[in-house]
Amino acid sequence: MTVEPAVLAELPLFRPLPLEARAALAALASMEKRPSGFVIFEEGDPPGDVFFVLDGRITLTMGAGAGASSARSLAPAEIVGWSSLLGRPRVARAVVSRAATLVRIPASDVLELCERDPRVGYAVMAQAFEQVADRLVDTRMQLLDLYGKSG
Amino acid sequence: MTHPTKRIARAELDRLFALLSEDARVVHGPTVRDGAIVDAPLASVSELPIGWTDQQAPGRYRLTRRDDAAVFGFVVGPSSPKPLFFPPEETLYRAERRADGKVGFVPVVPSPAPKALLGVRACDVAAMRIQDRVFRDREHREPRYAARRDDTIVVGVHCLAPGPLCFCASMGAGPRVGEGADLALAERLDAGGHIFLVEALTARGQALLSRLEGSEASDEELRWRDEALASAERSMGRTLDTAELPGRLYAALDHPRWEEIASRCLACGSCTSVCPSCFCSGSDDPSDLEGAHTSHTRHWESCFTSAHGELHGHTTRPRTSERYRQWATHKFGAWVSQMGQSGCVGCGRCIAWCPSGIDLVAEVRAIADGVSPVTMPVAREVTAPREESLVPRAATVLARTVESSDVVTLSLRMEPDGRRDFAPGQFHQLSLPGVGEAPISISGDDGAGVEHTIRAVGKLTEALCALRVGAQLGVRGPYGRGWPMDELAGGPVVVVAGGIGLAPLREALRRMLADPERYPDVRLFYGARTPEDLLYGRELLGWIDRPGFDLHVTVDRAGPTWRGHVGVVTRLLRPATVPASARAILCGPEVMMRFTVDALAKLGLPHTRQWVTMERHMKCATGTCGRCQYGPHFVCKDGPVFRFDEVSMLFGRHGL
Ligand code: SF4
Ligand code: FES
Repeated sequence: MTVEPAVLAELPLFRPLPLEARAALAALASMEKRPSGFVIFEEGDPPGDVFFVLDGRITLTMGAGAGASSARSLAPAEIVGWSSLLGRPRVARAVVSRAATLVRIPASDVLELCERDPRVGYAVMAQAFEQVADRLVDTRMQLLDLYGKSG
Repeated sequence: MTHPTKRIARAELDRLFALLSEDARVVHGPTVRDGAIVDAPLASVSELPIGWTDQQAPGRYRLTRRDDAAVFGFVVGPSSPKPLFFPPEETLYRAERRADGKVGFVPVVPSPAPKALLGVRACDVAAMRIQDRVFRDREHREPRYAARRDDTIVVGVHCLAPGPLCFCASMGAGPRVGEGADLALAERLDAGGHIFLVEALTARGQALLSRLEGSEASDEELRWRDEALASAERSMGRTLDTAELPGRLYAALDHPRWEEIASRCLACGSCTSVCPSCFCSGSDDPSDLEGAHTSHTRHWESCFTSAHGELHGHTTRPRTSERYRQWATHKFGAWVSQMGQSGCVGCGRCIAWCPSGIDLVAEVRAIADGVSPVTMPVAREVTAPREESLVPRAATVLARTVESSDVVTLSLRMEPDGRRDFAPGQFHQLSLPGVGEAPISISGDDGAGVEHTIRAVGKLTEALCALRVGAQLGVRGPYGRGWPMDELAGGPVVVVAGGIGLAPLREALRRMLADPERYPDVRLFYGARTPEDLLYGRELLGWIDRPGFDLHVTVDRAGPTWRGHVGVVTRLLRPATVPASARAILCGPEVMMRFTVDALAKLGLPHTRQWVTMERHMKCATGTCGRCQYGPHFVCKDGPVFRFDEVSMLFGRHGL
């Protein structure tokens, strides 16, 4: 399925892009529907594409076998696979937990766009940084035992 | 207003004493004992501290001889009338738990001989008024206090020569004896002789006055008294500007001086125990060896102890600076919001009897002078007067549901009538004789009993969770202010619950879902540690298809089979899920609520449209023990539900 540039305008990561840049990216992007249980990538996989959830739910899990634990589920518009933007292997396993529509874009294309126009690059990376920072804060909150033994 | 006033000779004091002793009344008054002037039962006027005076300075109190025979020629000693009515320790009730699991509770109420208090200073009369307000003259009437206090005659003495530590004039408590006394004496000892002007302030005082030999006070004598009082007012040893003092103190919660005081304060609590108005108390359940017969006792408890700030085995005020701050901000600040008047009467005892000589007035001035005040909440009464609400009634376990590995719901039948009256968000005090008592929020009405969802975190909650169907326990309440059900009606309602915080919200949810016309749009956001910690799973599933109801559940951590959200509950709050016009009710640990309030504020919900529940370890639940203080509030009666703007200046702060 092809992707309309308007779809990318809904994603915070690409909102800062000028119209032409979004159109160029949209041409490289594809849309896919995935059923619940579908594994998008495994923890430790080499870097690859980045994904965005349009609807449905993706859950990130870490650890293998019986020790596996879900660390976070991703809401619509969130980036899936940010580590590829840094050329790092996948840090978690991403699995569809409720039938989902995803936008897939090769990380290399995003990076190329960023390098071509550093202003665009700055804006995209700032957005990505923001989302990763949000996750860091959330992870800390999870460590806090937010719901306590007290109540 | 001028009261009928007689001039009596010094010798006539004996007749006054005799009149006070009529009907087997015990006369209490000041007397010299162990180098101090203390209050004690007296046999005659000759036991009063005739010819004695006291010299006071910070950390210093000494008796010396006067060169005259003045009867009331001193200021105040360490003892106030307080222990006569509110003893340092007393039994509230006896309880038993029989082998068959049944419980019984018998109130203990004294029937003491009536008292007369002779020679009470204006500051102490004012302090009695304060204690009356705490224990007797509000919505809640403490029958033990009332039994000791009700039929008491009070003979006050105007202060014509205040001491160096006195500041009653600043506190509006003296030097003139005011409301609360039946008679007020002014002692005059000069070349003209030794006389007393006796003023009747009540009908009872008037009846006594009419039986004293003397003449009506002359205009000259009345003028002398009024001028002496005016000059006493001008010569107070200390002064304190009380204008907006509560707000100024609360604006200065971070003042470095609190820490500096802590380097001098020994946290001994002497100041609180000599204070004539301090009312905070703790309670204990000593039991016999088998634990079958127990009594529930109450004892004075200082805010300088760690027990006073206890919550789940920790203390909310671990540092001396925080305890001193609690003492000062409560006395001069919170009290006004709690009781409608300051807690300080300016007697200066806490200064004289502090072993470190810490001068409360000087400290408060150093901290609060020149500070611009924050707005303080106004005093709020609660309804539901209960003559004996400190004594539990029996309740029987009708049903027991295991919710998770450490959480159990008990449905209780309130004996004897099975009443189920409560408002969503209120709590009960649940107790087991010999084990203890704790506040537990009410989690619902199942049509037969009142439900309580309890997490086993300590000795008492473990014992409660282990109760079987048919067993009994003690219940007091319901207490507190619940969710603002009326204010929630009409628009979208966002309910955010964390962990066991869903329990106090459940009945509110049930009632909203049962009335979709009033509550057309209800959205529950529920976060728990793991899927196993989610409460009321079946009931939640049954709600999903209700029109006008949205359910969002998330857990911190889950196994691979969990298909729901993973992450903190605040992540579920987004423009798409939270309408900016919503009202929100929140319950969970403080840290969760803090993050949630911020997230909701970003989505356009002002603090005035968010309500939170606060947790403190309630002891009395009636606003009389001070245990649950949270800044200017009593969580037990002003809460546990607060609109967020009422607590925003305190929320998330340490040491309160
Ligand atoms: S202020 Fe003085 S009397 Fe009060 S606790 Fe500290 S040292 Fe003790
Ligand atoms: S004042 Fe005693 S629990 Fe609130």
